[in-house]
Amino acid sequence: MGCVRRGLLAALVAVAACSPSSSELGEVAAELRALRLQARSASPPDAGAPQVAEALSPLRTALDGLLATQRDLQAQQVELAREMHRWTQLAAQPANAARSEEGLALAKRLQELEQKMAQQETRHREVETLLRGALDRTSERLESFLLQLQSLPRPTPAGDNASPASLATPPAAGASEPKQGTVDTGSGARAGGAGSRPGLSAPVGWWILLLGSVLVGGHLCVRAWRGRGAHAVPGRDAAGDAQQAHGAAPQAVPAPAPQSAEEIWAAAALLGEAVDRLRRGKDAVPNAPRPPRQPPGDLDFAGLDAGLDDRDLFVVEGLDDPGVTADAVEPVPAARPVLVPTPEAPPVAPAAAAPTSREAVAMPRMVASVLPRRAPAQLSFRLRPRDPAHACSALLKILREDPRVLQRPEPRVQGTGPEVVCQFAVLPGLPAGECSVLEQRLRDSVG
Amino acid sequence: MEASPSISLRMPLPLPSRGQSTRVRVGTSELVLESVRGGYSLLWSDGRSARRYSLGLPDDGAMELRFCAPKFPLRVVPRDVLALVPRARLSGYLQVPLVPTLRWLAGEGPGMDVIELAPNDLQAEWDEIQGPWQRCASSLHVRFPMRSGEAKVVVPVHVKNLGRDVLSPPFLPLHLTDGDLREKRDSIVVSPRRLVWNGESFAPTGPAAGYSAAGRA
Repeated sequence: MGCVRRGLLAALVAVAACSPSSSELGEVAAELRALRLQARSASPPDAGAPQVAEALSPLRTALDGLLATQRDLQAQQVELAREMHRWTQLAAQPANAARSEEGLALAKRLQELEQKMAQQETRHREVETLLRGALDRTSERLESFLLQLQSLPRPTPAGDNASPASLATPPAAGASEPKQGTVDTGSGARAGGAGSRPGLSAPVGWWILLLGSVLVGGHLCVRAWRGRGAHAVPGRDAAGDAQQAHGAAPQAVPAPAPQSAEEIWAAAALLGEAVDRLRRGKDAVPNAPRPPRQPPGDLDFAGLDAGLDDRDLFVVEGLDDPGVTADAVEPVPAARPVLVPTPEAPPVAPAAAAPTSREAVAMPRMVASVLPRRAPAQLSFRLRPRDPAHACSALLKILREDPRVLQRPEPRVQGTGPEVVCQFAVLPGLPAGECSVLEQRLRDSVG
Repeated sequence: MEASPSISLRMPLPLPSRGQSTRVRVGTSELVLESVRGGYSLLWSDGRSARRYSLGLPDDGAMELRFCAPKFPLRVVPRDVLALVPRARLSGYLQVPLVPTLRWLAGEGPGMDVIELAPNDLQAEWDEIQGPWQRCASSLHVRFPMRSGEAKVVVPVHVKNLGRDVLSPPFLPLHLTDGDLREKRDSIVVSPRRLVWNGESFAPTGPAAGYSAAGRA
């Protein structure tokens, strides 16, 4: 027990020796208080900008580094964008190449098609030539056949009275009529002879009808074929029509050929008429009677008109014809006064050397002598607007826009205290009702 | 009534029956004549402003809308600067507003103007030397202006400079009368006006030169 007590006492002594003393703690606390007081008592300016700068210097360094990094990144981005652009161009180049190849292929295809069209056109021409030759040969053979028939003896004289239409049976009547019409000029007797043989009439007539129908059908086919190709070669078509209308066998050409020829002739007639009109117009210009000049006493400006050509008129309907002059449309007033410059009239304008001045472009004297120079009616009244400051501008706006108010003498709006005085002139002859309405409108605008 | 691009010098304006109205459209403007209790009411609107008139009209007569030439000499201010060197000539077309006028026709006698609907683009001025004149602005069209249905007259003009200096006129003097107006190409035109600058003033020449004081018919 004694040993245990001794041990505990020794431990207490050791612990007491190791723990800090209260005086040391107090010293530390006092020192801290003093520092705090010193920090509080130190004024902010005393802290000093250099100290702040010094304190912030690491931050500045960091910011500078950040900015430099940002610049590097930006430069890298620009470089990347350029690289991307280059890559895009590189990627687009194959597409363009493909397009160019496509374009080349299309051009080749177009050339092939054009060649095919040309070949087809050539073929059409060949077929057309063949058909035309066949038609010509057929018509020649038919003509020779008809001549042979004509040379045969006639069994009955009554057959001469037989109408050619009697040969044409009803199914072929439409086809035989134009043939008869064209034959009538040269070989009417032959046609009559063809139909005047009872022994041969049935087979020969049928042969003729068959040949005629073949000819008509062939011709219609040719027409249809050429109608399809008319867009490509219109001139050739018209020439072919004309050639066929004039050169082909008359028996084989039904109504369509003369119809196209008629169209051509009608167009030619219209063209000739237009040319004739133009020629007449040209011829008429030198001989056209010049409009009468104003008598020298009528206007003092007759001499000034010497340089003007009265026939050089505007494109007004009725004046387009060179033969028509301004007199044709110029009305003649019933009572037009003779406008002689009056010597007593006041001078119109000073003899201005500069033509750009406003007064130099004055009205002629006769105007001033004819028009009334009475002073226009003046209106003047006072207003008591609610807002005198804005009333003047509002009134002036109305007065400048109203067509009944004269702009010269200039309308005046003067504000004198709470009142506004309006002075303006109105159109000569303006009815009193209009004046009153105008005045009331002004009053209402500022009322 | 639909707007018609063509225009004629006279447009009949039949008197409407009670409760009915007659409408006439002229370009962008519209005229409405309405029969109301006690008379007739006329409304003229140009799209921006409107004027209202109350009319008393007897039953035995007719009303028509006429397009009259401006009463006074015109000063047409070109919207483009004109410049003519000596001995040069310039031609073109001007457009001048007409004055829609309501005319009352009673029996066989001459009609009488009831109301003149002065257009806004025709301003009047007056001074002691020239007297009254009217001013309007117009472009110098090189071709015949397209018809718009507006109450305007097309005036072909020749301007010639016989002076010694370059001519740049601030306006072109014109004078039109009702008798000068003609209907052509669905428009209202007058014969060409020739203006010759003699170095001091404009001198109208040619058959259309005479300034008529006959005024309105």
